Amino acid sequence: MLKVALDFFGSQDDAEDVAQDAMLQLWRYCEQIDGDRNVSGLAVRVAKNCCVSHYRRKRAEQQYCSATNSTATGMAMQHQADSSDSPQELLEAEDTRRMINEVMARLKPRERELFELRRVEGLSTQQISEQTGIPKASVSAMVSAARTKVFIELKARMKQ
Amino acid sequence: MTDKEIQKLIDSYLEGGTSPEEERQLARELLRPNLPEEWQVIGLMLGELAIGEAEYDAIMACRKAPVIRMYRRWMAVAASLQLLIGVGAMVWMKQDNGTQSAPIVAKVEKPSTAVKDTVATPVIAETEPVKAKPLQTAAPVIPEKVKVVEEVVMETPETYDPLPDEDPNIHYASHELTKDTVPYQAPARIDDFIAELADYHQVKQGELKCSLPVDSSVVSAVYVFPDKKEIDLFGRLLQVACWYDSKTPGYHLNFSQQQFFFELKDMRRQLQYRWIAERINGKILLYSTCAPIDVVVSSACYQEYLDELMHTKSLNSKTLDI
Repeated sequence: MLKVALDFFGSQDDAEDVAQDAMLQLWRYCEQIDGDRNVSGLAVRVAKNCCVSHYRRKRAEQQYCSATNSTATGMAMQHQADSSDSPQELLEAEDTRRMINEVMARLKPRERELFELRRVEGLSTQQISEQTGIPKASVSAMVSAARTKVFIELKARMKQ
Repeated sequence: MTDKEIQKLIDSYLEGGTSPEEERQLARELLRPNLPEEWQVIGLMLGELAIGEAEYDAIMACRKAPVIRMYRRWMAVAASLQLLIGVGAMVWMKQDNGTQSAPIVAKVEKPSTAVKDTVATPVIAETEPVKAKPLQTAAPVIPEKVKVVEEVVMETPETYDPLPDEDPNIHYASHELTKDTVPYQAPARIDDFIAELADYHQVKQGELKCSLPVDSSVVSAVYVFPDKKEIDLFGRLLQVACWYDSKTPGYHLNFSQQQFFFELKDMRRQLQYRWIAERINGKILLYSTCAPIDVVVSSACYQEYLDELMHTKSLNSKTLDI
């Protein structure tokens, strides 16, 4: 995780901050999934995600600071900085997350598990088959059924 | 990827037939702005982790791409030098065959030191090597030009090692060798790029009319591009911004799907630059301004133009009316 962040930022301080955040997030993910599994792939994904979040946050802060120091560009910059991290956007993101969780809750437990193994851990059909003992063809069929259900439900909700 | 290919990948994703790598590719494609609603749903389904990972990979790729171009450039330089060596060697061998006993020495401009002292310094030989008196050394002396070239080639192998003050992440087009801490990168290149892009897409420069008096040293330009995927103006502007080191004086970059804002300062020419792009009614308004650093640039002119554009259907119809 530290290496992923170090490659991205090139700075030890930033990389350590991100690695800490990523560890916390990974911990939360591990509570949701079977923690005994090899989570190195998930760790890398979480670290990359944290890098991007940290990058956005840092950029917005820099923009805001410079905007307050420059009157000419201040208004435009402040508007930019506000809109990139606005409470409204955070609320929308939270709503989206809740909506996905509600849709996922409607899936059968086995479908949900397979759907999440692909979505969160990024496992291949072969790996899922090995971990769950379900034949590959069945994994594909169940993942397909789960995705189609989620897609139809989400599309309907977004139109509302 | 074309829209058709993306749709095919989405269909395969919904059928559970995509591999993790294909899903990563799909996530990268879905980073585009203005996605159809169904594609946005797929983005949600792929999840924050996949989209974040795609964004990470895209940023890293953006940083690494210029290095490849730099290698290509240096390979071209190496090829040219090899050609020079070939020509130099041929000239030398031709003359050497004629007079086996008499070594050939290129005539070297001597600032103040002796001929043998100039071997280490890269002094360019005259174009026509001439016969000279044999030196005291027994071995034939290679013409100066050939020697110099060989020394240079030794320093430019395929694995090019950047100079200490040269940042490999900088696009070569905007890179100029300098002793400054941050390599000098002329911001004016962005204006050149925009002008060429506009010319290519046959977008004419709009006319800015300000109700308030404007400092004559402020130069502004405005373009109204169609908001089309083929042009992908936001993507291109972001790519251009990636040319510049974030430590460049006055560097401010901010963008969303709706707006793009970029600022730079040219400390050599004492100029400040700003570019703003905004999506409005199916068009993208691109505004650029350049002014001396000590001049306060007001955004009133741009705001006036923006207001006008939002009330009129398009710049074209406006100019037609006139």
